[in-house]
Amino acid sequence: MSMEEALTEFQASYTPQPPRKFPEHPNQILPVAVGEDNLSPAPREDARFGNPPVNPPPPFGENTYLWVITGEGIPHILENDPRKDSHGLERLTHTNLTGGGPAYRGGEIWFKSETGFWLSGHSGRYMPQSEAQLLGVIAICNAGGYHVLSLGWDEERNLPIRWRNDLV
Amino acid sequence: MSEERLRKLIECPANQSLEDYLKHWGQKFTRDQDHLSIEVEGATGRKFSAWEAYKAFGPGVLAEAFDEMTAIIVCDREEPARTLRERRKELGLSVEQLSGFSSVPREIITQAEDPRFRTRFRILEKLARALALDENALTFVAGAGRDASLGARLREIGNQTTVFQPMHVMLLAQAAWVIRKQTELGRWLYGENFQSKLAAFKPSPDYGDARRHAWMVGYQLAKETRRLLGCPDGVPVTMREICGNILDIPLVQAKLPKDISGATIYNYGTKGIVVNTQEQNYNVWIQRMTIAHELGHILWDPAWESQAIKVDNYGNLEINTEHKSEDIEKRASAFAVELLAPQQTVIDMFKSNSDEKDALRGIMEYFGIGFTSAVHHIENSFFNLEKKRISLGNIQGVPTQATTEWVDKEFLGTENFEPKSIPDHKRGRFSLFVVQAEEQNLISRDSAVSYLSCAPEEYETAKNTIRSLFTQG
Repeated sequence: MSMEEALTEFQASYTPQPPRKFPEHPNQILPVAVGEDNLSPAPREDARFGNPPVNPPPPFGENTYLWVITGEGIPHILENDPRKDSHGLERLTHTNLTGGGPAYRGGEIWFKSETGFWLSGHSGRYMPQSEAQLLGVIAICNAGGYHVLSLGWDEERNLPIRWRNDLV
Repeated sequence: MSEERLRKLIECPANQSLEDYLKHWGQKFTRDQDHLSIEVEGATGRKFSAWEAYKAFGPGVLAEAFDEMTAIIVCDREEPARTLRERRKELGLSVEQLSGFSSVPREIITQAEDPRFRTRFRILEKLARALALDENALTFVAGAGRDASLGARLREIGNQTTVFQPMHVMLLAQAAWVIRKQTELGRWLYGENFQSKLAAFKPSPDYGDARRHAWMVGYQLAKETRRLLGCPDGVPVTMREICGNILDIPLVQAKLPKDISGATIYNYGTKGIVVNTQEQNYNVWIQRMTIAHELGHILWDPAWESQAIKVDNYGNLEINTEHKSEDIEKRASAFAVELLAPQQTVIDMFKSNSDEKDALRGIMEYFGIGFTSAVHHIENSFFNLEKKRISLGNIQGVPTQATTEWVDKEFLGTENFEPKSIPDHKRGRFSLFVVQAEEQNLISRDSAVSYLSCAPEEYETAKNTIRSLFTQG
């Protein structure tokens, strides 16, 4: 199955949802990369390599990319993309990828190479609602030729894992 | 800054304090080893009320969890493994011993002590409590509110292998946890009123001298205690009322070694009394003496806290035996008996009955004190107030059993407790505070169940038992 077919299957299985809550800052819904920067099949050239958060605090990873699945594809953008400055934001958010509109799900990735990354389902607005959804996203990425290391799903909170000691 | 952000995010009204709002806010949170999240359907982990989460993690974490769904609560990537491992070693316990007491399998403990593994929080909190740590602070604060002096003292006690078994060390650690948690809940429930009367007691370094014995000082301190507590001279007092309702000093019952009567524990700024439920303390009159003795240490001994745990044996309770050589114990014993039975009234009662045996039993029943204590106290009172030496050592055949009236008055909540799954050391006033805190939304129902160590389906029964026990008398 191609990445495009896997994406279509995912989109057919789920309904896009509006953001869980409205962002604090109005500029967080300014569309920074709507319809742009869609994740294509591997290799992802010019990717900034990074890693999930490893040395708290603060709980941020290095070169964190935000991703969402929309009707158009999988736009992804560096959280620290310079475009944040023109919007007066400290960091970009998932709603900057959707303009505050609905999305299938969202999360974070950190590229280890042009063909592999860590993936988390953490998003304050478009978090996957089940482990199956997160696995569906991973399947799309695998279909695109990416080797995905998932941060996984936490049964206790029934939410994606955002941090784990054993990754790096 | 964080508080302002939190207020804004949760839409706390401007005319309401954040703390008041959080106490009534219905939002629940769930945590695992490394995260705090807003509760979602299907979550099986530990649930916290908003107030609990706020008190454990502060406004910044709560704001992030509310805004981002999930906040990372890790202070260091070695945590909580390092704290658990080091604390177990500090207490001198093997993995096997901790496993035996906490019912957590050995291999799970080994994993929890290894930072390369994630462990379910319900397991982690069991271990933290067994080690007298603040389970909520695990991962979030290095050391998890560990009291190093307590740890060192527990290890020292554990080395006295002729008296203590590892199980006893862990029982004392559990008691220390209960004392700390009960104090925390008491502060949440009653604010500044909680333990407010303790401030009136200024510890005294006076243990007497060659002409003024330590026990005489103990008598004086008991008189002063009655005055500060507003208890009229000559009127019997219950330790349940003094420790529970007046001074708010946690009282924990536990099965300690047979020679041990009780102990005082100081844990991370909180203090309380542990009473052995075994041997002589089975008689409520002896138990009253034990509690009063420990209360003497807590109220009047300067810097007893530096010892973290002070253990007393039954020999320490009597002031005329050869067992106690330390003035500190003589003073506490005299304090105890005089607090329970003021000497002037004792003398008056004794004189008013021509039959010494009846008089002795009458004093025991009226004041709720045991046979040996009563004999020594009457002798000492005559010597102290009337410079008269009398000897009651030959009196025989006096029933030593406590009256049911005293059993009822001092009922400390361990007998007839349902469900049985709740251990002895959690059946005292601690259980009442847990239920009250849960009913006031200060803690979640899940926390209440977890604190009491009962099954979720047993909680309603527990609530009914606790309500009825603590509304009696």
